[in-house]
Amino acid sequence: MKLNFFLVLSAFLFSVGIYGVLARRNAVMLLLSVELMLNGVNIALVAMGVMVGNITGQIFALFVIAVAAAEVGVGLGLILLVYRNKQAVNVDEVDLMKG
Amino acid sequence: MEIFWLLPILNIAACVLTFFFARSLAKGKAHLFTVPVVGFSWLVALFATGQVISGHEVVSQSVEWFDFGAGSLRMGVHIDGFAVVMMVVVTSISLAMQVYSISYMRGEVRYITYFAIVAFFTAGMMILVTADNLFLAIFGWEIMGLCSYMLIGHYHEDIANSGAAIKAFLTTRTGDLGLLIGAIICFWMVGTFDIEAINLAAFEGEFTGHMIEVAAIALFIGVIGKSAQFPLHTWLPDAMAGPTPVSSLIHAATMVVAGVYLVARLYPVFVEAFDVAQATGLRSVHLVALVGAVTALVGAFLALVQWDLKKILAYSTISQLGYMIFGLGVGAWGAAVFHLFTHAFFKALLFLGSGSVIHATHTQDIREMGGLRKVMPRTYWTWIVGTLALCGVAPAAGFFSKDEILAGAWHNSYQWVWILGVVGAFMTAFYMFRATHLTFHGEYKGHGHPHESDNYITGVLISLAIPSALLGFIGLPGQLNRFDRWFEPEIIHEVVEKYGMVKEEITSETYLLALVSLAVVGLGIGLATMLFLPKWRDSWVPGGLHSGWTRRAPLSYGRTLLENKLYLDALYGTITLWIRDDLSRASYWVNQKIIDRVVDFAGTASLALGRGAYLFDQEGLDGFYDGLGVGANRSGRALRSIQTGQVQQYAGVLIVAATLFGIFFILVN
Repeated sequence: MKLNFFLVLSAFLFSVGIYGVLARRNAVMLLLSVELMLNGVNIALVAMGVMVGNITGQIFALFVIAVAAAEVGVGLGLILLVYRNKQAVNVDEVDLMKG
Repeated sequence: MEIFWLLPILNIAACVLTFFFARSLAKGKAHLFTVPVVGFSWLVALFATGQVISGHEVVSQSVEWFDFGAGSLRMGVHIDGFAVVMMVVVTSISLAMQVYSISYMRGEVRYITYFAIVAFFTAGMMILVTADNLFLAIFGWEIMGLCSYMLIGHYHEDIANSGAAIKAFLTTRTGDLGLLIGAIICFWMVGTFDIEAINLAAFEGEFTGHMIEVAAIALFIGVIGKSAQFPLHTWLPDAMAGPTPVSSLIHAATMVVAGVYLVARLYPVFVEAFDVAQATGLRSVHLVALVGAVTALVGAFLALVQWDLKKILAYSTISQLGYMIFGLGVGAWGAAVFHLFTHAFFKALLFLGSGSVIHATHTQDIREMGGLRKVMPRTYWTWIVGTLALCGVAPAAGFFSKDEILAGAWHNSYQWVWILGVVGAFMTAFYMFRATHLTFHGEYKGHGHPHESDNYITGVLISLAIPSALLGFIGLPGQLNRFDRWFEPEIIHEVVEKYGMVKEEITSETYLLALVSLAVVGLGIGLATMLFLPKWRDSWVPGGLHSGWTRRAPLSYGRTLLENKLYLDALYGTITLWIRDDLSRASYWVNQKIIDRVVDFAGTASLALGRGAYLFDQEGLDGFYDGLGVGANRSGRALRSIQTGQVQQYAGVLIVAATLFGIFFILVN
């Protein structure tokens, strides 16, 4: 029963993250939203892991955290460079890849 | 012994401290950080040796490193007699070499980095010799490889030095691949990296199929690379580009014996795989003995023609490593490990002695030396001790250890190996005394005024000369042998018992074998003295070395021996001439008559084919590819419109697609 609470929280966080990724224009907020999604998944992983009774889920969550840290490093670096070159942090102003 | 796991960590800490704080805290005196640590390690190792001798239990402790589902990996130490012996070697030579370096490297570039890497290296070797599982051992093995690379390239301003470093690194890495594969096969078969478990599994025949042979061959490739065995020995002479103390620690005493250590540590695997004990009754030529014996001989032959003092020692190291490997190959485990132990001391002594000479003369070419006995008495006398030990003159350490290997080969019915070993012993005596006479006797032929090195250097030389002279007495043959009794691990003992590998008793044969090798060594020394001692040489070879004495009619007593030398030269010459003349003529003929015809035919045929292909290409393929191109172009233009460059649209598509997939899989299940 308790598992459901965690899964609902997880789904909620994930949805908030998706909304942020799709709706916010600020690149930093985009990154934050991605973090929210990741943490939503982490909660699900840990909760499921505890329910099943092994530590694989927790290990996986740890890996996700480590990867997320690296991702934030790279992401913020990219945003900084984009800002220096285009004076913009809004993602809709950056469309160099337009075909 | 329980605190052994702390020693590598202490050395790594010393490395880090040196690297970051030596400049600010110790005004660049990096040795203040590393020497006390390695000195402490040395004391612990000596203390542990005492405990092992008085019958201390094997210490085995480990903690879980990480869990990867299929099993878990533990990290721990396994301290038995063998590990303790290796610790004594590592810490003794490292301590000696670091004290020596205080003087030798004074004022050199990157003094701090040098000491930091040496401390790191020491930690790596400690990890290897105390590791209780193969994974951790490989960890230490690779640390050493890295440090070796960095230290060979210490003077990397000279492109040749960094080339030598890269060569050494890549050559040993070639072997390491084999080591890794071997370790993985062991894990696959036994289900753990634990060395004791692997040994036990091999001993009890739990390897299925021919996997034990495959594993042993793979592991042995690693050994060949690291221990500079034929044919991967070529990196070691080049590695002499590093500072001389580095050569003494890494490329004589410790890292290059890592391969020997591995074979000795995983001895049951090798014994079972290669049938060392000839248990099946087949007198098979097996890999370990063969590679070792060939290396021992090749190294000795190559040392014969070197003019570079350090290279002579390098080839000599290759040769001696060959002795250790074939000692293991013929089932003389104790003798091989004992030789590893004594060799570390006397070869480090010789290298440090050569460093002292090079420091004084600023050259490595023995033709530009000579007469240094008078100006460098301490270096000279310690050098003589090391040389006698290396040649195997009783009662210096090398006599007992090398002779025990040879005796082991004889007793275990490896007579062919014994013959190769004795020839190697002769060559060893010859090239070492050649180097000694040219370096220390006669008149000084170099520039400047060489003088004796300072007390740091000579002190280290003297303190290494003592064990080089005396250590042999703990490894006397037969029932007097204490080395085996103290330090041989349980499992090795069982292997030796199971296959009845001969633990020799002292009989008349023992004395006979010892006399034969002493006679051979004496012959080598005598011959070298006759040919190279300046005082005597003139009576045998008037006109001196550089006047082409080998081509003249040999004189009086030295006749036969000189002829031997001539025979060698003639052999080399014949081979060279044969390659140059006959072989090239033959290949010219083959080239003209056969290859040319083939090439002509191939040319005509391909011309015809080409015409056909051209037609097909122009008419058939071109149209097809044009069509492809046009198609790609059009579809690209059509798809272009969905590339808006808006990140969030992409993210939206991604999420929708993922959701659809999710729904699809839920419905399917």
